[in-house]
This record gives sequence, C-alpha cells and structure tokens, in this order.
Amino acid sequence: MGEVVFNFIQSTGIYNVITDFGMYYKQIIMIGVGCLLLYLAINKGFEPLLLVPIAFGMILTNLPLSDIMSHPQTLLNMHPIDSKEAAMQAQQGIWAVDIKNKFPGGLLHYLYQGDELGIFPPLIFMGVGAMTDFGPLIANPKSLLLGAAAQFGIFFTFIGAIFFGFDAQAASSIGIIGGADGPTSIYLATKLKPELLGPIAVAAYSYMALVPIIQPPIMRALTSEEERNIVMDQLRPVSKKEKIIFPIMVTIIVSLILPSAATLIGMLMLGNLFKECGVTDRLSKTASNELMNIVTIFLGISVGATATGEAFLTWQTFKIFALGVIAFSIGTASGVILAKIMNKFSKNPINPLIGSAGVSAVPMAARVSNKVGQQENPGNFLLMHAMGPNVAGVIGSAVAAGVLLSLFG
Amino acid sequence: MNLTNLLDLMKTDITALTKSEQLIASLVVTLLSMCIVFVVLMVIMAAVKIMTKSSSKPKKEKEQIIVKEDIKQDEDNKEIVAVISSAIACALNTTTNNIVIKKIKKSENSDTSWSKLGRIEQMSSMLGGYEYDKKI
Repeated sequence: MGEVVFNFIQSTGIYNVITDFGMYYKQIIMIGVGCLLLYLAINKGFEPLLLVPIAFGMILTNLPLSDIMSHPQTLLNMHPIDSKEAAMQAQQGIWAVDIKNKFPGGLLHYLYQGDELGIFPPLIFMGVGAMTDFGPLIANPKSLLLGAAAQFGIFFTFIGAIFFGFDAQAASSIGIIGGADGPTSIYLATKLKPELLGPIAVAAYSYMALVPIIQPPIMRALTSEEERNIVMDQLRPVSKKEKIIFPIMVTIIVSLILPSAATLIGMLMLGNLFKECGVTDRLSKTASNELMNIVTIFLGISVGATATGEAFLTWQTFKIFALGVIAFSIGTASGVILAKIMNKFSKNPINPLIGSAGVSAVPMAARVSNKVGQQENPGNFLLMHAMGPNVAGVIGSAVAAGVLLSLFG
Repeated sequence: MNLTNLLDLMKTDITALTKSEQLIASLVVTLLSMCIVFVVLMVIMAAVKIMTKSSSKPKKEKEQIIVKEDIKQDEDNKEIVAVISSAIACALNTTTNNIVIKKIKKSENSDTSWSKLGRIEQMSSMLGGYEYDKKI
C-alpha cells in the first residue's frame, strides 16, 4: 500500500518539480508568463479572443509531465531474418516489421498540425475576408499605396534581424510582425522557422493589442496640427458589382504575379466573395462566425503550446520582441510619411493620420487613426477613410509574406 | 559575387557571408521586395480604376435616359401622371395642354439614408422647423 502511494506521489508534477527544480524552473516561469498574459487579456482586454487560448496553451504545455504537446511514439517489432527469402529482401532494404505498441501524442500536437501544415492561418484569413468591407478601398484606390508603404516596417526589421545574427528565414518571420497581421506571421513562421513560432505569435498579438498605445505618439510626432485637422472628401458609394468583381480580380492578379501569395490572398478574397456576392449568406456567416471561432481556438491554443520554457526563455525571444516593436513603429511611420507625400501631390486632401492604418491590425489601426484625428477636430470622421489603407495593409502584408516565401521558402 | 549568388547563400548558409555582404544582401532583399509589393498593389490599383471606369459608364447613360424619359406616360397610375404633368407644366410656366408626356419611368432611388434624412430635415425646417421636429 505504502509503495503504491509513494509511486503515485513520484508521478505527480509537484514531486518532480521539487526534486528536480533545476530542470523545471523555466516551465514554472512560463506558467507565470501565461498567467500574466491571461491577466492582460481578461482584465485589460488585450486581444482576448487570441491571447486567452494562447496563454492557456502556454500554461498547458509547460505543466510538468503533461505531455500535451508530445509526439506520438510507435514501437516497431522487427522480425528475425530466419529464411533465405527474408535475407534477400533485407538486402534490398525490405524488413518485416510489426507495429508493436503505439503511444498516441498529446492532444495539442495533433491540433498543431493545423498550423504546421499551413491550414489554420488561411482559414482565419477566410473569416477575416468575410468580415471585411473593401468598399472604402475600391472608392479610394490610392489607399493601396499607403497599405504598401506600411510594409517598410517588415523589411527594415528584416535587415535588423540579420544584423542581430538571425538567418534569413528567421529574419523574414520576425520582420512580418511589422505587418501587424497575426495569421500571416504564424503562416510565415510555420513555413520558414517553426521553432520561433511561439515568440513570434506572442509578439505579434501583443503588439496588435498595443496598437492604441504604440501608434498615437508616432503619428503625432510626424504630423503637424494643421495636417491632423485635414478633413477629407466624402467617399463615393461603391456598387455591388464592383464589390463582387474586386475579390475575384485581386485573387487572379496577385496569384498570377506572386503564386506563393495565392493561399493567403485566395482565402481572404474567397471569404469576401461569400460576403459580397449575396447568394452565399450561410457560407459567409459560417466563415465569419463558427468556423472562425473554431479555428481561432485551435490555432490559439496550439500556437501557445509551442511556447515551451526551453524555446521561449532565450535571448532570441527578447530580440524578437525588440525587433517586433521596431517593425511596428517603422510600419506606422512609413505609412504616415507616404500619406504626407501623397498629400503634396493630390488634388483631394489626404489626412496623413490614415497612413498609419496601413499596418493591418483590422480594424484597430483604423480606429486609432479616427481617434487621433478627433482629438484635434471632434467633427472629423476619418474611420471610413482609414479603413481603405487598413484593408490594403492586409493585402500588402500577404503579398510581402508571399515575396519572402518565394525568396527564402 | 553576383546578386543571385548572394541571395542563394543568404537562403542556404548565411554564415558564409561576411557582415557587410549580409547587409548588402538584406538591402537588396528589402529593395526588391518593396518594389514587388508596390508593383503588385499598383497593378491592383490600376485594375480597380479600370473596373470603376467601365462600371460607371453605362450608369451615366442610364441616368441621362431616365431624365429624358421622366416626361413620359404610364397608364396605370393616372393620379401620378396628373401630378407629374402639372408639376412639369408649373415648372415650365405653361399649361398641361402644351406638353405631351410619352412615358414615365420610375427611377431607382439611389439616395443614401443620410441624404434622405437631410431632405427630411430640410422639409421639416421649411414646414415650420422647430414645432415639426418636436412632433417627430
């Protein structure tokens, strides 16, 4: 009886942590980090839909002996070579084998396959597409340039990451944080540098949650009071026909120029077509609600589970977080600067504040542009104008991801 | 070392490059990638402009036709015909005998709810403004 109890105690996580603290201290710190993220998500409202599953996945994977992320194990029982035939086959490399015993992997390992094989992020993109209105972008196609300018953050950080000693694949995955696009960051990281997925996803979503704090000072520093006061002309109404043609056209154009971006752009535009075509309401609702929610849960929890103590608590993570915020700031700044330049040449006035919305982070970045604009002039509504660069940013970062994939994939 | 080799090495074994070569290679990547991003988005921009132009052309023609066809006849709603013809006569400073209405076609109402609201406000202010508002 005593032995049974002792065996049970030995199998507990508490016993293992106490007896082998040196091995488990990183996990304990990570459980603390997970709890901190949960606090930020639940109490402070930082991107709760993603940070709650990510943080919980982080806690689960770091609980000692939980093996929730473990690989499946298969024991093979090899038959002895006892006949001439078997010997001849063995020479050709054919062995008779039985699967002796199979230990299934942890639940999150299987869910992680959705990330690893590049399935979940494009599905999220489909949901994003089903929730996005490209109307402001179609009404003012110049917004596309602002969406492109904001991608400077990605490539500036790429240079920074190379300088910090990362290889090209890691630098690409880190740079894409500047696109402020969670699914794209995860997609690129799983394709190019899966071992950095945890820190990259956590950095990307943390900074997206911090958009209202990071962006306004940069926006104010780069614009004059006069510029922030610019009132823009009202956007023209966009016809249903245009809204239907747009996703089909963009998919074909982008995929023909950059086949590696076809997955992300294709799914984004498919979701949008569901919404706009008017005959697939059920599909549009599923893509933007149920499917999106299911995939968000799986993606969040399995991405969080990649943030194990060994992988997360390294200098690399700190570098990634530092580079991420630089990427984000440069993206914001370059959007504002291009908007200022465009304003010099444009007949219709452009408020430079909408340039910062070129980093994706839909619709948070557009809301920030609107808010900063209204602080100067409460009667100035920039939200719809900022939605143009905002959705252009989503297309832009998917294109940038496609370029990096084709260069380093 | 040419650029293709440089990018190849960057992709496969970045440690083989010196710091300055890494910097040059990453600058090349930045320049190249930003150009591609800009080109792709500019192509989309051009395509959107073409789409907008081609889809707005027939619309204009339609509007013109509607304006012309406004002064035409519809047999079903005699009252409406009477109102429209007297309104036209009034606007042209003549009598209904001098005009011939061939066809009346209902034009699609493309007003946004904002402009409808604006019109209601205008009308209410003309109808005695404040008191009318109060009734609403």
